[in-house]
Amino acid sequence: MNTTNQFSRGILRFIVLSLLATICTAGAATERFSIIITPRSGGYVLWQTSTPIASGSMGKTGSFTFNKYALVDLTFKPNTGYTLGRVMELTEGPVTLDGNNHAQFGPVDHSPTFIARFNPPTPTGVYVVSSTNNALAAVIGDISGVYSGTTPLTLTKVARTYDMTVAEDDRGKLSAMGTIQGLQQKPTTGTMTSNLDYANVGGIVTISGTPTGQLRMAINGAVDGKPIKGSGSAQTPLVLATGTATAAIAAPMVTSTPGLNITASFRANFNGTLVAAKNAPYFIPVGTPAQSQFKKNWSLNLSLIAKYTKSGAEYVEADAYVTLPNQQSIIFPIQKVKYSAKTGYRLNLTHGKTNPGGKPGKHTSILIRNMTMTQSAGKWVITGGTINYKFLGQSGTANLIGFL
Amino acid sequence: MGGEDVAHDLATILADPNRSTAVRMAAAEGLCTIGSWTARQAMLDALTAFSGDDSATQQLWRSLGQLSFPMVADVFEAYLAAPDSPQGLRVNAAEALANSSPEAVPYLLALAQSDSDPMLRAAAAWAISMHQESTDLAPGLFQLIQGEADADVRRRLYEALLPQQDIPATTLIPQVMQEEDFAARIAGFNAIGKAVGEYPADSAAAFFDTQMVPELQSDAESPELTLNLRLRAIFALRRAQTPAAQSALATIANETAPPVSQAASQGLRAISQP
Repeated sequence: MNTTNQFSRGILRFIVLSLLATICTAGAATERFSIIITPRSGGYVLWQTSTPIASGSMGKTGSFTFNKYALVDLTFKPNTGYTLGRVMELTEGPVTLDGNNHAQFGPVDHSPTFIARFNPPTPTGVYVVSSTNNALAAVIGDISGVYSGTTPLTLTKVARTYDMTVAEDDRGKLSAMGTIQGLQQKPTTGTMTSNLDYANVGGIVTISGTPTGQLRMAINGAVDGKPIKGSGSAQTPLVLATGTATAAIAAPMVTSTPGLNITASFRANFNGTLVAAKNAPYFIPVGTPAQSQFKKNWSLNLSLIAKYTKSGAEYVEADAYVTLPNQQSIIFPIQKVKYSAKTGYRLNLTHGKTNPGGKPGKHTSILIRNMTMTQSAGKWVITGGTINYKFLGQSGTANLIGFL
Repeated sequence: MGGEDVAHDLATILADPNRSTAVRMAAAEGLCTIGSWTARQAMLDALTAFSGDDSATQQLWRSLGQLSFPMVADVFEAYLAAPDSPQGLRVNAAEALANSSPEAVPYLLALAQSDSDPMLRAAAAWAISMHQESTDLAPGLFQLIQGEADADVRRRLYEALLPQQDIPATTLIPQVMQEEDFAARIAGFNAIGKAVGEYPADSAAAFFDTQMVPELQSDAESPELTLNLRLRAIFALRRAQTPAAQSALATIANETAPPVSQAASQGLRAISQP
């Protein structure tokens, strides 16, 4: 092949293309490029045609037309946070792009359809979701601790000193031991003792967003040496209040010390006399050192870490642990998560293990839904979402933003 | 509070979709206090109306659980036997029977023995432990402990032993010493401590002092354990009341930080009072 022939062929090609373009323009035969952009907000396509000389930007699925045998340029541009995945032509298969995500087609003599797939952003970072930042969310009560004070709960209208040690377990179940002045309990062997033993006294549940103690106890003992036998139940929102309560058989008591409002029902035989109350209000002051025990914080540490497969594909792993109000840490299994620009991340944190100990923390679960994120100053920032949390036998649901 | 007229008023409030859930749940609380058949029916109707709202459903089951067991036995039995009842709600329903009448105990024992879900068995065992009037269950509970594979359920069964008469301490000791789960082991120590406190001359007391007291003291002093478990370790010492247990309490009171030290001090004071 000599240079004269190459030159001749070049001239010939130019003539043919010019003729074709002329014919197309004159005959108005058109073709159409259809481009499907997925996901919808993933990116856009810059297009340019040689005949007619035209260009534009396609921000969503659509098409444009041009004259038959025109040259068509496509450049694929991802939106912020997205990356370009793969461009396919429905009949031809994958399209090869240059380093600028660009390709030229033509002369085009048919109407192809392209699918441009963009990869959603993969927000990563380390986040702390903490109850200290959200006073309005449902409080998870952990009242393990030591209490003492004076109680108006008396059959003899005499205020009595008490001390009580309360242990709350991982299901919010309570066990208590203590003393109440003048009150003795009869153990199963029949010996009277002041060492009051309320082995299983009830639990704490969430009612209308408030941790609420539901208690039930029986007594078979003595008050000031006089026999008493009976049982009762009580309910109290674990919210410290200031106030006065007058009970059916208790002395009214005014105090500036914060305490608990309790509603109690009981039925007992006290020294041969039947005493009973139904939904009677009581107020039990809680001493200053113990007040802090009513609001203990918890926090969730969440790390979203970018990882890569052997083929280089990016994915995100969520590594999380929660520190409960009782200071118990639960480490959740690492899980793969996928971000959706529309619905954000979804994390279902269950089947955690205690740390230390490595025992199943099966009563602890956290569900985060619709955790959307945006980039700000080079960091991913959480912009929305809800969190459902269940631990210590209680639960809450709140806007995730309030915890950040 | 009481009377059918009040029950009808509360039933109307509970059924009124225009009222807030909080108000309707308060009405349910009132109905369970009345405890009549009208109240029962209103709460059953509400269970249907609130299906899909887990929080409200849980509160309704808790309210139903406060009725006398013969009034609600059929409802609970049907719900807990239904394979499509959600696990969380089943557990909640079983726990609600903690507040029912003592007639619920045989049913709870059957659940604790035979339900396939360990979380439900644990819930049933806990509900049993709340029926403190039933004090003759020790042999049956011991049998359940021996056949139970799940440590969490055994923990609850040990706890259910606490209000019982004649806890079989000597036969219980080998079982408890095999426990590897901290919560179950400390619960077992508490059951044995209770028995030792009631029968200090029993041979179990010597074993408790030599083998369990040092471990309980170590547990109470361990910052790696939750406050709950540390306090329950102190409870076991407090229940046993032996000289070795009192000595351990004194050491804990002197050598640990509050509130564990305070709990130990309280325990010592309580033991020394008549």
